[in-house]
Amino acid sequence: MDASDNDDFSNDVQSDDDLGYYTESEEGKQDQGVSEAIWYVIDANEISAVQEKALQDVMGIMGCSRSIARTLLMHFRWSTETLFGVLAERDKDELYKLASVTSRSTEIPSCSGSQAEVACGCCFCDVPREETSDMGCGHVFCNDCWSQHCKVQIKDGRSRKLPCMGVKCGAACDEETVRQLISDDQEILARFDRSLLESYVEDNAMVRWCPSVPHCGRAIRVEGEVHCEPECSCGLRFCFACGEEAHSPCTCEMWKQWKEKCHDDSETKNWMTANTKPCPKCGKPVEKNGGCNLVMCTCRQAFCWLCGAATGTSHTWTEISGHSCGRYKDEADRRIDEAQRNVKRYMHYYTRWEAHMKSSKAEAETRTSTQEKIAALEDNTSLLKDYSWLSQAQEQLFHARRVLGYSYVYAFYMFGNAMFREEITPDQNAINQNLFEDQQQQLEAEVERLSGLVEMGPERIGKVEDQLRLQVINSTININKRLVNLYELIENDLLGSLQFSVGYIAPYGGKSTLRPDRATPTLTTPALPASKAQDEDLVDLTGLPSSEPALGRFQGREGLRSGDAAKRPRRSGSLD
Amino acid sequence: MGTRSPSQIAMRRIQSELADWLLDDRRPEGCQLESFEPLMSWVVVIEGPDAAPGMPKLYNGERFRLRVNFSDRYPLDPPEVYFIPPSPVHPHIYSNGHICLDILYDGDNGGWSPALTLGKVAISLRSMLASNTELKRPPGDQEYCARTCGRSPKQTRWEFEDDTV
Repeated sequence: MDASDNDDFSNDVQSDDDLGYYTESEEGKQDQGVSEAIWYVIDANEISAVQEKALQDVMGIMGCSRSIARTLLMHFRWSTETLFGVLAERDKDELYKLASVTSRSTEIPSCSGSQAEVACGCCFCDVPREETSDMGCGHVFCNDCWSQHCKVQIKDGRSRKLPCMGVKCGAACDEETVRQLISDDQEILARFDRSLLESYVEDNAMVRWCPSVPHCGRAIRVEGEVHCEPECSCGLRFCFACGEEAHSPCTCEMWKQWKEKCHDDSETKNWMTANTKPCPKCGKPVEKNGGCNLVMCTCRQAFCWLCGAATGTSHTWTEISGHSCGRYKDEADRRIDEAQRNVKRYMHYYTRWEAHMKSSKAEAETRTSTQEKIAALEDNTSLLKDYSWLSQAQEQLFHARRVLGYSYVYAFYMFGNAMFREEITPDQNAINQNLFEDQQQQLEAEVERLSGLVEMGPERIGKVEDQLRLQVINSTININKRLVNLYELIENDLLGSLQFSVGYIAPYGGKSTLRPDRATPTLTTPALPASKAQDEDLVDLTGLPSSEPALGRFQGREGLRSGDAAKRPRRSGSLD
Repeated sequence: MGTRSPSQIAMRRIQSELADWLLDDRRPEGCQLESFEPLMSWVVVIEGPDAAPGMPKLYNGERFRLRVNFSDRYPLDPPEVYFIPPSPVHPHIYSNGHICLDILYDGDNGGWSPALTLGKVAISLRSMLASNTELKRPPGDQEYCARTCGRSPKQTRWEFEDDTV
C-alpha cells in the first residue's frame, strides 16, 4: 500500500501545499496500521452511556453542571475536541455566551417588589419569592409561568436549548430546574428526556442514526473520515456522509442526482420538451416526424413547427402559405439531436446499472443457498474439507457486482458533460473515459466469469473440485486486484485531479471491516499491497485462519488517500 | 403548580395591560387604543413619528391602525400583530400589513419573550418607522401578499437580518 502511495503522482501533487499534514498522517498510519475510517455501532440502550461519558469528560474539565456541559456540547456538535480547542483560545465567559449558557441580553434582570413578594414579568402577579425560579441567567418568573413556558416549548420541539423567557436573553434553561417544573406531567417529562438523549445522535457531526426502515434503533459513530460505508448490526450498509444506501464509487452528489433522475424520469421530460410542441388547439404534445415545418395534430389542427402558431394546410417544402416566422434550420435540429443523444446515453448507463443491481440481488440469494449446502457438506463428509474459498468468492462477487453497478452511475456523471465541464477538457475527458472503461470492462469480464463458476460450484462440489477450486480462487483474487486498480484510478487520477469540485468516495473494502463489535473500534487489518497480491496470484485462501472474516484480505484500499483526508475540513462545531 | 389554566393567565395579563393603555400617562407616546372589544382583539392607532433632526419626514401626521389578536396562550405565545391596510410604506412592512420584526414571532429565530408587552411592541414599531429613510416596500412584496393572502403573519417563516431599521 505504501508503495502505491509513493507511485501515485496526483496524490503527491495534491498534498504539496499541505505537506505537514500529509507526513503526519502518513506516519500515523504506518505506526498503527489503522485506516482513516473507524466506526462503531451504538445500540439503542447504549446511547445514554456514550453520551454520559462525553458529559462527564466536559463536567470534569470545566467543573460545570451536567446541564451546562450538555448545552456546551450541543453547541459544539458533541465534539469535545472543538469545545476544548475554543476554551484554550478564549476565556470561559466568552465560551458560555457563545453557546448560550449565559444570557445575551445586556439589561440587568431586576426583581421588583418587596423582599417577600416578586412581580412575575409574565403573568404580572405578585408571588411569594419561594414560588419563583430563575434559570441561572437571573430572569425571575413565577413557577406557574415557567412550567407553562417549558411545556409549550417542549411540545413545540424545543427541548434542547430551551430558551429563558427574558427579553432577548436566549440562555438555555437549567435542565434540572426544568425537570422539577414539569414533573407533574410525565408525558412531557419523558419527551424532554428523550429529546436530550437523542441530541447525542441528531446534533452530532460524527454520529448518525442507522437509516433502516423500520428503524432498528441503532446509531453509528465514526472517527476521522466521514466518507465511509459502515454496516449496522441490523445488516444495513449505508453511506455515512449522506445517509443514503452505500453507493461507492459514485460520489454522494452523483448518487443524489442519479436518484432524482431515476425518480422523475427527467430524461423523458427533456426529450418531450426538445421533440414535441403543444398543439395550439388541443394542447397535446405533437412530435415532428420529418418533412417540412407544417405539422398536423391528431385533432386536425395544422400549425407551424417553428413558432407553434396555427396555420392553414397548404405548404411547400420551405414555407407554409401565408405564414412566415423566419427561416428555420440549425437550432431546433441541434436541440433535438442533443436531447436524443442524452436519452440514449442515460438509457445505456441505466440499463447496466440496473442489471448489475439485479444480479447482485440474485447472487445474494444463491449465496445463502450455497452456504446451506456447504454447511451440509462439511457436516456429512468424514474428511475435513474447507469450502471457505467458495463463500469468499461469493462475498467478493457480491461486493464487486455492487461496485460495478455504481460504477456506471459514476461514469454517467464523470464523463457526461455537465458535472465537471469547467474542470476537464473534452480531450482529457475522452482519455479518462477510455482508461476507466478499459478497467471497468476487465472487471466486468472477470465478474461474469466468477459468477459462472460460482453458479456451477455447488453441483460440482465433490466431483471435479480441485480444478474448480483453483479457478475460483484465481478469479477471486483477480477481481480484488481489478477493484483495487479501479478505485485507484477513480480516487487518484479522476476525482483526485479535480481542482475546484470535491469528489470524495468511501474507499474500497468497507464491507470487510465490519464487525458488530462495540467494545473496540473496528480496525482494519494492514492491507495487502497490490503488488504482493500479484506475486501470489495463486495464494491459497483456504490457508487463512477460519476466524478471519471472508474478505479479510481484500482491504487494500483503506487509508490510501490519507493525505487528502487530513486536509478535509472537520465538520465539527463552528464558532459563528 | 399548574393550577391556573393558560387562558386565565392570558386574561389577567391582557386586563393588566389594558389598564395601562386606558391611562394617558401609562400608554406609549403617539399611540391610542381604538377598540378592545372583544377583549382578545384590539385595534391600536399609531401616529407617524416625527422624523429625527436631519432625517426625511416620511410619516409625519399619518395615522396607522394596528390589529392585535391575543391567543389563549398569551403571553407564552406572541400576539398576532399586523397593520390594517393601508399599511405604512416601509422596507419591512408588506402592503397587506404583515410586519417583519423579530419580537413579533416566536420559534427558533423569533425574538418574542413573555416578558414583552404590547406597549413595548408598539414602541418598537414606532421607532422602526422613525428610523426609516426610504419609502419603499420589501422586495417581492406583491408576490408575498398573493402567497399569504388571508393567512396570519405568524405562519410565515421570517428571516430577520437587518438590525438598523
